[in-house]
Amino acid sequence: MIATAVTLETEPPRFLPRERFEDLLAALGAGGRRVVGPTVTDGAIVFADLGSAADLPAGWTLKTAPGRARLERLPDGPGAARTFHYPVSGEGIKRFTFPSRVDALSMETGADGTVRVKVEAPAEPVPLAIIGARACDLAALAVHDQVLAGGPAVDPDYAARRRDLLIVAVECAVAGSTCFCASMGTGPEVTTGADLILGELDDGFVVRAPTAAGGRILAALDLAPADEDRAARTLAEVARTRASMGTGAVPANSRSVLIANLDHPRWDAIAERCIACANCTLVCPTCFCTGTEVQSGFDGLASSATRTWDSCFTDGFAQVAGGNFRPRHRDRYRQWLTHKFATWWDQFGTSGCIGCGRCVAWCPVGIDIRAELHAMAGAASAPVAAPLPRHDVRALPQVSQEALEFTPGKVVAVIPETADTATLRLATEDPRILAGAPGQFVMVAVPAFAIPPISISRFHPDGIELTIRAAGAATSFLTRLRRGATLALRGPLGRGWPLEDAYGRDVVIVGGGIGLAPLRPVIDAVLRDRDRFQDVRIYLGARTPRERLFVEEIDVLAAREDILVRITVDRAGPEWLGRVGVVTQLFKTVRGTGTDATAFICGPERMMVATADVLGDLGVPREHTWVTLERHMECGVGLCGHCQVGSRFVCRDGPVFSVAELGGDLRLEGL
Amino acid sequence: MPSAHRASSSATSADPTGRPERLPIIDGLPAGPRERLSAMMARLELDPGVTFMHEGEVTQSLTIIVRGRVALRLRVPERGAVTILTLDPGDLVGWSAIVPPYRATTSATTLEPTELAVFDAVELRELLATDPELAAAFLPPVLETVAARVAATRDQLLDLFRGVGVDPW
Repeated sequence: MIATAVTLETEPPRFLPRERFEDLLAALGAGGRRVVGPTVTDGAIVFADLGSAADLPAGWTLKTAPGRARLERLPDGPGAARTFHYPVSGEGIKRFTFPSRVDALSMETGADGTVRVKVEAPAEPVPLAIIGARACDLAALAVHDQVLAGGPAVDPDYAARRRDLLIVAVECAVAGSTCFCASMGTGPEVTTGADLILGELDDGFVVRAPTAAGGRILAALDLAPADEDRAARTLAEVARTRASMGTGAVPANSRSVLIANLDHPRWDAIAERCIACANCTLVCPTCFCTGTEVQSGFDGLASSATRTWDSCFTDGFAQVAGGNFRPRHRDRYRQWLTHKFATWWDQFGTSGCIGCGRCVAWCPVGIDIRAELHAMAGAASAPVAAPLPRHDVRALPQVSQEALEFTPGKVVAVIPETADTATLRLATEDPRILAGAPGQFVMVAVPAFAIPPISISRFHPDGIELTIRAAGAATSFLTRLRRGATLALRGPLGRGWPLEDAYGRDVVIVGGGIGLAPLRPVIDAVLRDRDRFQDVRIYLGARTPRERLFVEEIDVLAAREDILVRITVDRAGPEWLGRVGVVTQLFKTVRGTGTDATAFICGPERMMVATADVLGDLGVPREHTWVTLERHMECGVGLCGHCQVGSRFVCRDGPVFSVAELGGDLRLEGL
Repeated sequence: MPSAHRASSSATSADPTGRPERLPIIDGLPAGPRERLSAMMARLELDPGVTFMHEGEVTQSLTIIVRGRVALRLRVPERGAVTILTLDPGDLVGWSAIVPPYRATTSATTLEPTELAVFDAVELRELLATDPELAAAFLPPVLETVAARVAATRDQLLDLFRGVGVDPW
């Protein structure tokens, strides 16, 4: 955690006369510290560098409503010159701690043909002071501290930017109609994360310093103590703000309502209005999903990767080789809302919503999450229940910074498998990769291409194999690499197949299509340690005979007497004398499979579901039936947010899960 | 019928029970219906490559594979014969023998030396029409077979192993 410690306020509040605000800016800027605060820019309140107090939005307020935010002049009168008399601005302070674009990697192919990938060092930001953050902004910052710096993996850029940050918060004297921090327990009182807290009055500011850093600033200003009347008036203003918002803006049981109603027709009703513009995620101060953009020179020899803000509302967010896991707007809206109010709790122990209401005001069609949650709770079609016990993501081992580095891999052999699939045998000396487990994957980088996650299809004492289907630009390039080429690897990542779950039990391995690749190390391991297992049965499906993987190897396996191997294809001509039909058809002749079996399944998700169903009918327990999920992964360590399935990050909590762990999520469309 | 087959009655089978191998559909029947069905069952041994049921023609018999493998095929003029399903011992071939209009929906061709348990279509229909106990016991597993094929065919239709969409990588 990087969250600024809150210290007890031992000093009485001080009073900063309005005409001395410039002195505060000077004190903050001492020693070259950059000072940013709200300004009026292009008809909106925008955080920018402050040259003087005159840059602040004195005399302005902001009126918000669903789908509407307008600057207005404060009415004439004693308060007409107030500086912070508006509710939250459109943007919070997120872009200063978590910028929308961050240099991530540089990649180059050297003169000797060796690919080098350098992880860019975290930013060395100049010390920064932010004036004008609100209670909700600070609550969001605390959420980001948990998400981006609370582990298992830490975003080094975020950690660096958080290291030397001074925050001057303002307690809101006015709330917008879209504000609901009081309902979320995050405001309007500033209780965490600020070094100085301002309460604005017509003639100046009551200033409190909850941290030592804030105390030093306050001491430098040499201000008189605030008199009791002023202190009381600022408290009263905040109390009025709280009262104007009321409580109960969202149902108290939103978390369980959402989890129990993932298929509620209300999602369709919202989707009819949602245009998937992603505005809500851009203004949300807790949204943290990112993508990776690769820029390359024409020669393709050198490129750089930039981490950019991404949104779960965009078309490509959940895209993988096999298709799109969230093709509909309802899927994307459900992902966003259930993440904020439900699965965020499972992942990080907090709400992902802090009640700032920006997503309501800056939604161009005015969708109000408060109303949607109430509608959902009021018309819950499924009984409201406590969320299911979830995979405990907080118990995961920490990911070291070294694990985020790339290591070289050299192509020592290319084995064509099918017309579009090849196996690369790679030499690597990286002990972490060599010590990887069946079911784990690596990120594979070559200059000029996006960085795909690829399952390890075999371990050798001196390297690994990757079996890759050419389905896009990067994977096409990888399958065409020649012997001697180099690439860069990061991993091994994820939780693999739990072989120990099958010790002393029957083993059923079911692979479909390219899904055989991640299972191959399981087969290797089982055969290496054959005596630890009872009956071993391998069932493999392919689209056509020509699209089978590892054909000669599988033929050798099929000839063994200590395992059973069955192969089927979806379609074939008359020349094929083997089996035709879906892979689940293979089981009907092996009724012996049952409660004593552990199953490892990999293939298209629908195939895995159908297989798990058939195996379940045969008695294989769900706790012993393991599947590996394919999802869009940009980072591999649970930071980019792309691969979420319910409360899980597939990259770090999986990709292997038991059917029991996944529960209903395994067959919920669009999750 | 092709010359490569050898027919025999169950009574002359080498095994005194007439059904030495497991035929789940028959084995699962109550004793009475099982015996009445077995009494009309014949055996047929076929070499590989023999087409014993022809798509579009009247189905002559309902059969159960005792050993071997059978391909169900469809004719697609521009593609030739396409195998859409293969069947193994215990599987039923020719359910159309007892379902109007009694016309085979696929051809059936042996891929290996194959032995079939054979029930004449006309005799079987008469038995089912006159023996309610047998019909009540025999038709559900036949329906189960047909239903499983429908479900599997739907999955095949999805062509799940074909890559679709735009790969981000």
